[in-house]
Amino acid sequence: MDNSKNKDTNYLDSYRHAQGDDGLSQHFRELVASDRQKAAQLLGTEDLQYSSLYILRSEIEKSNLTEDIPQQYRDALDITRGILEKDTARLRSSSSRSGPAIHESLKWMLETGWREDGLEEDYDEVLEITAAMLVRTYSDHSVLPVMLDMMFERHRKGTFMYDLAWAFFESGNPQCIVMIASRLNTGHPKDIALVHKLLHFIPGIQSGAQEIPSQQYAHILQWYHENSPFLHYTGESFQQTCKPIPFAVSTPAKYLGKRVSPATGLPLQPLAREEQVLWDRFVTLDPVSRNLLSSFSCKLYRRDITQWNDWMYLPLHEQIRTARVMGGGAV
Amino acid sequence: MIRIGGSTVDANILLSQYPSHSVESKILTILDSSDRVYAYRSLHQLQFEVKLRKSIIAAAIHLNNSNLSFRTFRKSKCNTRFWKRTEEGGFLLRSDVKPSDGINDIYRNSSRYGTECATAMVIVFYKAVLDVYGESLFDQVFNGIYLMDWQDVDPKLGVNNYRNPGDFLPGDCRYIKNPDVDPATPEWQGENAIDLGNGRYYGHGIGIKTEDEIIVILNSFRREGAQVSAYMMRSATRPDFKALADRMPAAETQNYTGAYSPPWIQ
Repeated sequence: MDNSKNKDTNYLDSYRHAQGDDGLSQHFRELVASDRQKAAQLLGTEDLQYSSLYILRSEIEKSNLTEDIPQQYRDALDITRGILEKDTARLRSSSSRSGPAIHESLKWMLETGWREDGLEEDYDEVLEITAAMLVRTYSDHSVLPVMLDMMFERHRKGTFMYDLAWAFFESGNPQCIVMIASRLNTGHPKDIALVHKLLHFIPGIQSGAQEIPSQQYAHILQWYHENSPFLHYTGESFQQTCKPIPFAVSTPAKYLGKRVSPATGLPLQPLAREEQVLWDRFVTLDPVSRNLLSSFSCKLYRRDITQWNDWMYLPLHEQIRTARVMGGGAV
Repeated sequence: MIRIGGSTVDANILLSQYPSHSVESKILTILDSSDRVYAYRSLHQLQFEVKLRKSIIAAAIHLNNSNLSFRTFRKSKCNTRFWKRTEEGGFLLRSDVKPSDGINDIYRNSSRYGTECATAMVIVFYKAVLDVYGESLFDQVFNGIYLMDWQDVDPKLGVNNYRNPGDFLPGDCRYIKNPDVDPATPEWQGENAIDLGNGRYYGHGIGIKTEDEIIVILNSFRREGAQVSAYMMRSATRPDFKALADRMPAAETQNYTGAYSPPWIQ
């Protein structure tokens, strides 16, 4: 049920936008008193937005209308209650009873409710935990764009966004980097500042950098193109440090030209014996040498694979000398 | 190895200044026996670091014994006479309040405050520096404080997260990560905890516990069917001891007695 495009076609949503949250609650109470069946019908329409359901949740419960509304909305109310009461047992029970249905309810809540982010603290918390559940429990990455919009909007308003950022990165999807970088193109100073904060770990990307945003965007895309096969999720977050590095390059994998799992950072294909020897040799190096050799190796591999193959079997000190002369660089 | 002014130091001379089994001797022993070189420009810098680490431990224990409550950012609270609560749940020191008064109020009127674990660590760091610097120097150095997680910490505190630092020392802030946390309780995605130097750690919301005990607690907040246990990461968050030392006249380090000293700290 994708209602994200059907803004205000639903009577209850339209009423709320015209008369406010209190106006809707009052109107609904009066409707229940005068025509309970009609009230239930209005709640049964498919194009309702989550924000209206959220506003009416206590009225629905007081009027014993919960059983009269569609299952998806009943699930949404159950989830809302579980989140606000920190009743994880309730949430687990819902999920195990009807996993796919709960997934759909969560998705409906976020996709129809996100535009009202900022409604109130509890509502915002429900949305961010809904997003976290979609990403972590259901591995649903289709909601990442909505989460990104919410993060940047909250940052502009100065409201709490760190748990949302945590949930966003918990997707473990390196494409998060490109999604974040695209916000440089809005030109909004707060968006640019947040991009710098979230992607500070990319060489050359930091506050006060000389490049204009569009140049920085191109720079990030180039870095991503070079490193994406070797990126893995570290799990670092703003709770741990002010400068988390959520995605790191596996320098030994980059050195060998081996794609890694974004979840583990380990090569997707088992290493051959000779490759394991090269890997074990490489990891004894200091971080600067690792960056130098992995960067040079990657460039050489793409330029001339035969030359690369010869170079890989040189002694390490020879590799380092060659890389310095011919130009390695930052990972 | 310890080097001061470019010369290797005989740690026995340093150790003789402190009681054996003291936290100071433990710190010095780790530094001295390490394969890494810990280089200090002066004896003052080294002594300052040792004192500040001891002060961090004291401030952590003091905070544990206070009535500071554990609250998520959405529900955080503070004494509005001293702090303004921001939209994102942080605490901004009021412009007419001395920084030392603001920090001390958290300890004196702790029941009026509630926040989560990372902010508690920053409070501990500020309190520890205050107790070593004294109010006058502290207020000169830190003329505005924002308490919100690890964000916007005064650069003069020099807080940094060191990945794989080689050695871990009493007074370090460690992080126990909970990778399989229930998404409905993101506040338990991990726990920041001060190393108290005796096999125990102070984590706000958990209290003073061993590493294993903290892991058991965090594991209770995992999602259904979780496979991965919480674990302590090989990283440490520390203030910039040397830069902080350089702001303090050498003679004053000798006069530090500590505002709060629990019985087991000698």
